[in-house]
Amino acid sequence: MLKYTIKRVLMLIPTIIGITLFIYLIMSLVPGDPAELLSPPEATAAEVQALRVEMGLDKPILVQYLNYMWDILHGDFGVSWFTQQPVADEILHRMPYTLTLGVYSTIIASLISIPLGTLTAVKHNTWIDYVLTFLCLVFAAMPNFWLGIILQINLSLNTGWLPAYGMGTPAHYVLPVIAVCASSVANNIRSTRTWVLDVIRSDYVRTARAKGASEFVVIMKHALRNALLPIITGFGSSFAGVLGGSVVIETVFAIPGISTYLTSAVKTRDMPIIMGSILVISVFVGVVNLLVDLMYSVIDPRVKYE
Amino acid sequence: MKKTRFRKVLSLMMALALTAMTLVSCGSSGGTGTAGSGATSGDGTAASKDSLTVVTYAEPVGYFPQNVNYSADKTRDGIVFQQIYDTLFRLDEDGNPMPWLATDYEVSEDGLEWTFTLRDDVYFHNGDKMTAEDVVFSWETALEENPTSATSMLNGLAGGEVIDDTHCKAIMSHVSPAFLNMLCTQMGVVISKDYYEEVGGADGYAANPVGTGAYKYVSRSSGENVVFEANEDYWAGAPSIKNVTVTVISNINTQFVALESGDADVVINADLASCTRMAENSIATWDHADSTTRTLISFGWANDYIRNDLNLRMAIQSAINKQDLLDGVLYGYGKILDIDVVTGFPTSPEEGTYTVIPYDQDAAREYLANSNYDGRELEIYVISGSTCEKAAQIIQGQLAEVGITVAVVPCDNATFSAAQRAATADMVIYDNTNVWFDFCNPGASYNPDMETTFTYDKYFEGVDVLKDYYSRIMLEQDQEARKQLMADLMSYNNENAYQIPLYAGVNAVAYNKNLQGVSASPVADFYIGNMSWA
Repeated sequence: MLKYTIKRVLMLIPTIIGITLFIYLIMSLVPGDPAELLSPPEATAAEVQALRVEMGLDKPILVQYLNYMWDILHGDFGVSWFTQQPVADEILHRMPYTLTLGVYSTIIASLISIPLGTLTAVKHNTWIDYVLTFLCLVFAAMPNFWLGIILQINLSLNTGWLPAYGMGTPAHYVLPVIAVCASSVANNIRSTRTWVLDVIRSDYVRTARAKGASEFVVIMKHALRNALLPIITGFGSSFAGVLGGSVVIETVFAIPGISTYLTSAVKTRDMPIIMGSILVISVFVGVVNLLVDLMYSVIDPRVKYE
Repeated sequence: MKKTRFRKVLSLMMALALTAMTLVSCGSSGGTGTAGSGATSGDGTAASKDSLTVVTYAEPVGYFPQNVNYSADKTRDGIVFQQIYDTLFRLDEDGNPMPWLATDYEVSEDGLEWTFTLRDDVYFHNGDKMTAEDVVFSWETALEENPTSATSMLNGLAGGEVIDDTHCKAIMSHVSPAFLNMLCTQMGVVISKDYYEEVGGADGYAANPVGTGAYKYVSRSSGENVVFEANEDYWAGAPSIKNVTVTVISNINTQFVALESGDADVVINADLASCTRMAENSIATWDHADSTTRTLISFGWANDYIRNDLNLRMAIQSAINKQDLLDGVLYGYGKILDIDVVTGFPTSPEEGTYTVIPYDQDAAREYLANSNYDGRELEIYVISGSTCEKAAQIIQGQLAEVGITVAVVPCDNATFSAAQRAATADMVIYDNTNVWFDFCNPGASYNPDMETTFTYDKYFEGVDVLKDYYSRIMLEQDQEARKQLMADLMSYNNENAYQIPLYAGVNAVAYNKNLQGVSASPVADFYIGNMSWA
């Protein structure tokens, strides 16, 4: 297990190098010159060139990338080209908001979707199954920004029950968490239903029933546990998705998270922010995937890592 | 059979419930503010309220005013500068400079020395008294630390001289009739020399800014908010509102939900469409002013089929119905621009003194017939998601009516900036913001002081004529003569289709009805010190 973990952690290094190199190349090859963008309209050609040199943009792309990675290895994430603020400080300030949103969403999504998914499987082809399946389709098809706006209007503007934006108190998290996890709950209920249904029809569940085990024990101990592996994988993907992909929700609810930081930097070609954010998100996604893989052996003793 | 019918009925009911929920939400989006925190702050308890939450669309970046890069920063950073710092002069409601930290001024006969008398009762937030030494230091810091912007925004200023604690002199390299207007900009704010030295320069200053303004800086949280508290010793009187939080909300819908639910009190640079949709019974209202920001078309001088074809440029100019643009982009607000100067400036030419190219499709077709246009698709570059993109789409249709094929190319800031500087895009549509209420910000287009990145060999052949006009306007001290020179410059611009002025925008501010003293400003000024709760 330890050997496997170390191996996986080491495998993260080439993965991250690959991701960062790819992003660096893509961003460098897009038309447009960040030095010109940052220069005032009245700047002379010499002043723009001086800025270009100061930013290191006069060097070949690969050299720029290697310089950047060298700085990263020394713990220097650089400063934003646009705001001149240290990128590491900004990431440290913003990451907790996104992580909190991700953790809350994942926990709540799993607390709702595993029991309901199991219920729909157990109550297969009953009205409970139909109602939940219908709701799942609706929420899965609902764009999260739209749901966010509807929630703001109904639960904040019209009723004043919850704050419309920002972070700070637990109440601030309610609307964004609902908006983030709605589709995730819907999808996970459906996948849980599928996996549990698959297991329920297997021989060992039939055997358990034949042995006289109660329905609760059959479902919880024999069916659900065996169906958990793919379900957990789904939650891992959802959590990773929130880290880098919650930009819409962060924008709608004015959450100063890492996604909005990254997106606004892309608009201004602020390379230190783009690279720093992607690096951190990549590490987190890699670690989350590793944790999910390690959880397999906890959930299912048959899974062994060599 | 029974089961199938049950399933159908259930599905139908759920679909109806969902639709009803959506309709209820959309129907009430006008905002009644009848419940929750909105009602609390909007109605009964307003009188006892002494705090204010201001919503801004982008995070303020500049805290050290002399480091601002260009005029566009003002709409983003002005909310900070205008609360913390003061300037020697400030624009009044009509856009004329009025004494602020300075009480009086004199200009030497040759126009090269401006002597200012300063107030004797002004203190920085750290308790230090403001003196002439601080004023001169502020000018010199701008010139040293940010020469490019200072050359533009404090045009003509060469240095300063301290006479005594309350008198100082600005030394000019050339006469600069608009100098007072320039002193009203963020580049003209006064910083503390002692504090600057104490904190080790601009970075230290920006980390914890100290000014003489109505509000003291308290804190900022990246991506979230900036907090101010009232300067109780403010020389112009302690502000009525004691605590201010400037919150960053980029999403327009969220801005207005926050305002109409009472979570926020003011939205600056408010979205015009959302303002016009606000319900009568909302707890919020809005104000607007014609902006000094102009929307223009510039041509791609690097392309010979543009540079050498006046008829094509004139055809484009004649084919654009600017009223359609106002209706489509600004909901009928704003002003059509016949020339590249908004009305109300001291140098704005009188109507009838300059050439106007009217909207005339027949004339456009005639110009086009005389041009070398070969039916190629011309590209209009715009910043994606901007109001300019909407304008470009309308223009695309208008040009198609006279036979000019156009493609709209929405792009990000960097791509747009590169295309604009290199003049490679056939056309670009952009907003140009004025920072002082005098001559339109000429930037790189006219100003002879600037050897810009625009390369002359790719440039408009009459550029020297434009620059000559500009230098004369810049130096002319007789106001009427300046106006006439400006009229001549604008006529030359229009007759040669150098660039096409489209319209002047609108500055809107949406705010809680109980908040007093709020008004939209043509130059997007926003001073919270003037406001109070009813």
